[in-house]
Amino acid sequence: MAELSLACLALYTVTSLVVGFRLIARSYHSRGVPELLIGLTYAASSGIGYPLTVTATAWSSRGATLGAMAIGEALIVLGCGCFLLFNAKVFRPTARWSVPVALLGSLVLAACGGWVVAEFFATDDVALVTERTRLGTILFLAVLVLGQGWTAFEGMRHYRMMRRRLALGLAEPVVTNRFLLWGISGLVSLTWNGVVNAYLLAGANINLHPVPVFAVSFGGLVTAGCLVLTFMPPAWYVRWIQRDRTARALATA
Amino acid sequence: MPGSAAFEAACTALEHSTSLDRWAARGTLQLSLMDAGLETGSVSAAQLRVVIGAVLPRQLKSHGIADASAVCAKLETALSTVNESGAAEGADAVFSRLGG
Repeated sequence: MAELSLACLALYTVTSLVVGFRLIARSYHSRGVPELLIGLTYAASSGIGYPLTVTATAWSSRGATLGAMAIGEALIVLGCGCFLLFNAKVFRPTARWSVPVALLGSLVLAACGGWVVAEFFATDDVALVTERTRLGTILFLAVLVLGQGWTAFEGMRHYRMMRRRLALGLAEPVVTNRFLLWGISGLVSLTWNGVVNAYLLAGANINLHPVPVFAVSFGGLVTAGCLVLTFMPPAWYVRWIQRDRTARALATA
Repeated sequence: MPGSAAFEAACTALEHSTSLDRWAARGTLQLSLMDAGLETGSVSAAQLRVVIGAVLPRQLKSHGIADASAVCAKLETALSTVNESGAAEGADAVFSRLGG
């Protein structure tokens, strides 16, 4: 179970790194802010930050552990903050509330991340740090779950709208499908982080209990698949989506 | 929330070319946009032209407006002078770029 979980998370990490750096490179050429925000989300948070914090305690030197933890947490906060800002800028560009809400969420994430790092600097007893920062972790995951709920809602809402546009020739089938994948990845991430948070609230050890371990592994696997199909769709997938749409149009005719 | 420049121009033209008051004109156009999966805040002139051709005539008829095609022609004329510079980029445009 532990090996399977590790393999799923490794796949998610590698996928996030590739997709993230690809999007950052694209933002350099297009000067697009959304590409940069979502690229940083995947590269900084799940690509580098998360593995750094998970492996931080494996270092033999305390200095290396503290460094990995501080850099890892900072990158996770940066990535998750970019994720909230991406939702605000892309899905609610004209709403006055969206950017302040994203910034407020980022502030809470930064405070929780800072709390974890401060506790690591205060003691080298990992179990004690985990116990002391339980509330901070719960708060962090709660903000993340809200952000993923927002992603799922916007993804599905836009998918519904894009299907209507498709009927009038105002949308592309592949772009319409991207909103569905975006919504699914939001729903899956919402479920996986929600399960972890529920077990944390119940006082369970999330690294040993099979339910949160399975939720994280399976969630990571599905999210990695959605990432690839959304941001780096293979030619066969694009052809399949377009052919399916053409077939439906002909059947309607 | 205010509509896009194209939406506001179309509302004004619809109000002036029919017996509908300002709120009825906005409501009629909003319903047409909802049918087409578009939003008032981000709809462009090009998208509105498609809605005017495919969806709006049905809405106008349901409001008892007899000469729907003449009204639609006036709306299209109003849209030709709309300045859309500085308009926010739609989520569809962003997602179209992200996966290319």
